Amino acid sequence: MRITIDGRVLETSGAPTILDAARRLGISIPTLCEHRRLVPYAACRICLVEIAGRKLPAPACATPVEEGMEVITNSPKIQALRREVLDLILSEHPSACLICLEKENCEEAKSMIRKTGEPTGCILCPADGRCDLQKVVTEVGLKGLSHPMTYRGSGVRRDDPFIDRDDGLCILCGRCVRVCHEIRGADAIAFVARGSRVTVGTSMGKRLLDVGCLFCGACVDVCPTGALTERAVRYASKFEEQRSFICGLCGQGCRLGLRLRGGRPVDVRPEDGSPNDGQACVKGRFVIGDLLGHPKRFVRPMVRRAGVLVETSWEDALAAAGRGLAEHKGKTAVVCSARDSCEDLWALGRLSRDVLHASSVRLAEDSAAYLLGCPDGAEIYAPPMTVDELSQARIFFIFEESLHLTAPIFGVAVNQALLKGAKLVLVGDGEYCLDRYAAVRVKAGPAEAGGFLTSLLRVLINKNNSHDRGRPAGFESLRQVLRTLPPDSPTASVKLDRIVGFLEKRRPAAFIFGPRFVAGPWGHRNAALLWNLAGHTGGLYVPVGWEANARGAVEIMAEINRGAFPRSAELNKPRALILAGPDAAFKRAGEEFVVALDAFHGDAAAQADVVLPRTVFAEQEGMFVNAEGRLQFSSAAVTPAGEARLIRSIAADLARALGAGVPALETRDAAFKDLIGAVPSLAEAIRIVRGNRPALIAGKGFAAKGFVDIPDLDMTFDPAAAFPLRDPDDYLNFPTALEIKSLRTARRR
Amino acid sequence: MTTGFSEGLRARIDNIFARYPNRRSALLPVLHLVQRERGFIGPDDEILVAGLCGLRPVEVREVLTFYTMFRREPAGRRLLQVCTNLSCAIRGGGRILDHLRRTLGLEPGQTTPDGRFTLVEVECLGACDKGPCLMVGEKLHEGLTLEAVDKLLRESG
Amino acid sequence: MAEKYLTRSFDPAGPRSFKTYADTGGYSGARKALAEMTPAMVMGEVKAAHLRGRGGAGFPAGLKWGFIPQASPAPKYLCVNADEGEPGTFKDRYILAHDPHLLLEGVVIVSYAVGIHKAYVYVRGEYEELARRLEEAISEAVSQGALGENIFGSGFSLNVLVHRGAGAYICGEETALLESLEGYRGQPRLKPPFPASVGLFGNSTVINNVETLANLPGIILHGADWFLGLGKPKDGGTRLYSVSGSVVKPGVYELPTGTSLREIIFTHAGGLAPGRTLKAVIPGGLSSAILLPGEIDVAMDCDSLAAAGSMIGSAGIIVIDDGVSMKTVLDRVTKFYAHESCGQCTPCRVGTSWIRRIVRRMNGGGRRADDLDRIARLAEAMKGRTFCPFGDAAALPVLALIGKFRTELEG
Repeated sequence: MRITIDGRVLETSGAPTILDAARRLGISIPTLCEHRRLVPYAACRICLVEIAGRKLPAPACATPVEEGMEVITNSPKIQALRREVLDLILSEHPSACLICLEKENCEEAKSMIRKTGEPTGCILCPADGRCDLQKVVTEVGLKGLSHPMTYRGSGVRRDDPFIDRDDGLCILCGRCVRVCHEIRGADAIAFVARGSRVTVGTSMGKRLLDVGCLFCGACVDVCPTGALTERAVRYASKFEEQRSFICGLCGQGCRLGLRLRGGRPVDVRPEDGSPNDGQACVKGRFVIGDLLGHPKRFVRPMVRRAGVLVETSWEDALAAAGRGLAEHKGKTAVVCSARDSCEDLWALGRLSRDVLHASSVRLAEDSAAYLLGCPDGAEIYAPPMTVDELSQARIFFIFEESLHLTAPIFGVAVNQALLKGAKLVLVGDGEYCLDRYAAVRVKAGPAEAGGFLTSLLRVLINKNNSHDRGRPAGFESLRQVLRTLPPDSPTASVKLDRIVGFLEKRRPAAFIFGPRFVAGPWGHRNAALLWNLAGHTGGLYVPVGWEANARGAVEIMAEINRGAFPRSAELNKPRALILAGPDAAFKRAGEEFVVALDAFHGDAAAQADVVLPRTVFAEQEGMFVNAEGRLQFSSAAVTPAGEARLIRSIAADLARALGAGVPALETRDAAFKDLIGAVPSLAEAIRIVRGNRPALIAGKGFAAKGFVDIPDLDMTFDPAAAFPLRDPDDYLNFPTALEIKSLRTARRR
Repeated sequence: MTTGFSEGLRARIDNIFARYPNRRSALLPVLHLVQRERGFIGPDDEILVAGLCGLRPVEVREVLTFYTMFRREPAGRRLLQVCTNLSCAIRGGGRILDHLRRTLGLEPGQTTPDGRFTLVEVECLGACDKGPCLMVGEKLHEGLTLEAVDKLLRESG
Repeated sequence: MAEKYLTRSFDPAGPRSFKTYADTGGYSGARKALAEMTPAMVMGEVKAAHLRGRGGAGFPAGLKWGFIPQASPAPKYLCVNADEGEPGTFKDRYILAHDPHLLLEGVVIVSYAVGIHKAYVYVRGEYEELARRLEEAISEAVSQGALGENIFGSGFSLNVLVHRGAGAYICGEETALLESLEGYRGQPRLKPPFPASVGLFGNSTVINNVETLANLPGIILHGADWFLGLGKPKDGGTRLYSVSGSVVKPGVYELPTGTSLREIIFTHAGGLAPGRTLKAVIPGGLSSAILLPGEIDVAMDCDSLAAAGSMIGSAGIIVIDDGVSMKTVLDRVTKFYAHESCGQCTPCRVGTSWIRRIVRRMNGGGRRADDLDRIARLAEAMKGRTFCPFGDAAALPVLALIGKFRTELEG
């Protein structure tokens, strides 16, 4: 297609909007309500352009180009039009500063007047300097206002956590309302009332906290003015630089930007591109600053002297740790965390295996999601999958997960698919954010879901509408097993028929589940059933690890233990313990010596003999594998707190203190090379990185494995007596996690 | 305030659902029904309707506040809606409104203390040929004079 | 007297029942279409009749139906626009009140022509009683085999449902109507896509005004030529003119398309009351530009009125006599549009509210010298720049008022 914009010719394929086409030519058209990820809204009318042969100006953001179209974006008529539209917007927006003749000299003239309640002009506005409206005024070149300024607002609302709202600054562009609906699916805010009385509001004008807001911060990020602001930085100085890092607070691996002033964090903004593409969640968006500089951080090493932990030097602490551990070589247990980087885990693993000859090395968190329910299985089941693929699915089966909380970015992908008409089958015995979208709701916890899955699998296999090519391994034996089962109840059959109906019309399916669903005695069975269902329907098998590096951690643990994960019984009698993973319930039981590598004061560290302060994710570089299986490299966005050191460095230090330095752990590069050399799956994925495609780590897929046997349930097991349900944020042993948990409880109300 | 809708109302709401391919489309008719039964749509009703239609409460709120016929506060037993749009204004709609204002001591939007009348000024009722007109409840009264209005007031409420 | 068709047998006492309607030849158009014509023939006949939409935009109905993709297996919908909100217009109410079956017969014909099996009649919220009567008429028609399954034994089925609005002028705009029907705020949608391709519930949808559809039985029964003979070459049929304001006999008058405005006011509506002289006329509902007494020899059809700088719109004629102050007119007009703006786009939301504020101040005695110029500038800033035609509807009457009555408004 060939079009002309301001006399410049563009050849284009597809049907971009005039705005997209103009941007490709480097032609700037001012916009306010437009946003890259949102459906065009065309309400602000600032992007109107002329099109040859059309009587009326058209909004560039919502008008697709047509063959031979001639567009004029900057005629005097259009410029006058934009000034008039802007004039109208500013008549309801505090704007004195925008057109003030003294604007240039204001920085010198003003002193400490920023801390005011309601902004009446830019210098009093929290969005000063980052305001889209300011930019548009400059671009359009407005010199005067025709109307007296009126203030639409009713004061700043400060009754919510994290977010302040000021209707007086709102220009009703609808970006917040749209992002809340189109991207996040939270639907916490909407337009209320009509005409000149319209505001962005909530049900009954309640607080965001009481209307299902997840505090993902997306509305704050898209707000073009200061109407929605992050309270903590409302009057903070402007940041000087932004540094990118990978968030370590859940398994999605969001790419975030830490904004700094004088080397200190100001705030955090999600960055564009995979996997999160400009989205974050309450944890990544609002708590990382607090987390990094929290008063409970360990900033110096500590050793126990006369029963009391006292601060000391690294040299002293390492020597103490070395002495203690040397006594228990071969009888030391090591607990790592799946939230740590691959290099960190590898370093701890090598220390444990090659220096300490540890009796066990294990993850503090449950990695069952990737191991097909076998706590000691070495085979890893996780075919590669991306967020993009997930958003293309046409039917979702979600098991026991409140995706908006445990995997917010997957939640965004699911929401977008649902808005496009995908169906949702929600399985679980609790209440979930996605309940109201569910086409079919199966009230069954992890213990009972097996029956439902078995029935579904049987109906599908009997219908023989298999998506597989030929007969995958294990098909016949599976069919035999399913034949012997008793028939379904009539009510269950109706539900199953409905689901099968969806599956016949809608492909691909996605089966999403977290660790909780495949933990416990029913876990192996649930996982096997899901695996078979996904394979049989050609759908996505999507285990959601909750931890930042859960997917990488299982690979590394498998390599360190090489197929021989110790049985849990063997863990019971270690003589010494290195505690590098969170264990809120840790009770010292007979261990003679405990070394804790921890970042925050807590119950576990308080029982240790030596505490070595460690860095947290934004302070260190390293490789993480997120829930997609995507390899990502994080850099250090900020200097470590106090004397905190990387786990890899601590492992190397300990090895040296034990008199057996491991050269491969001394530098990050060496550790990385050593790791890649030892773990073939990571090496394979790295090879892909070099090919410039997303680097996805691949576990065994259905094509290679085929159907798996459905194990029997352990019938002697009493579900009430064991396996208390774990909270997805339990593993976050940092203090702010508590606040997030209480927030979520409030949200469920 | 009650905590739920009556059986009868629930049954009628279910009938409405059957007329549309999805429950959201039934929102306006359902709100009409609730208002007819309750006289207005209160906060509890809003939440109940949201639940029945499978919506977030805010999705009911945005709709409820858009349409002028939905009342969120109780009205008097007789709702007096006076048209003051141009055709009626030419034929004396303004006088009718002023008369009601004075007689009842109300400004548009207010209810008499005894709860008999609520006075509302509305845009065109589509009866421009018979103006000035006034709707009392559901009933349209046309070609009104001040005397006719007084008679209406005496007879209703 | 010109030939009447639509209103030929309206019974002033109330709505005609199915029986009286059928006894006077009712439903024979639908019977003919179903029994003797293919859908393409029906559509061809309507196209040839140059039936232009009676809702306000005047778009040819046959052409509109032609945009519906016929081959698609997806369901198609009909929405009857009975959201008659344009002040000064009450013709659709007239049809609904007197002859609901005339509308229903038209609904059967268009549905058959386009292949529609589900129709919604969107009745404005204020017409509660009419909506109930229409529902009664529908069940009557269903019980008589004129609606529902297998209509008149033809094998064609059509389900008609009534949906009531709740007080929003903007819902007369066709995409806002769809939003409202789907249970959303009545905010207009972006076009394209047009409702013919993506309409109600994402499906192809025909949206027609009540009066437009009421013309179909006649066209089918008597043919396109007969229909064209009633009106103008490119604008066929009779029209229902709603006449209100300072005339002796306000009401709905069915007259040929193209009848002169003077004739309608003075011959049919009885002229003005003794002692009153004509000051101005609004010819096509509140959103059309006002005409001076010297301009009323214009023919009432789409093209003639456009040439006269106004529009036929919904043919709602508001007659204004010398006793009415133009300040009142400006006040009513601006109040209405400020009240009814949906608030979605900037120029309309802020523009209507500013114009309203200035007019209120002026009429409250706080007049400033440049007020009218400011109002005109605001109206110009809305004209042609808003999301939907509402901006024009709010701007044009104001601009015409200021243009033609500046001295009085300034006084």
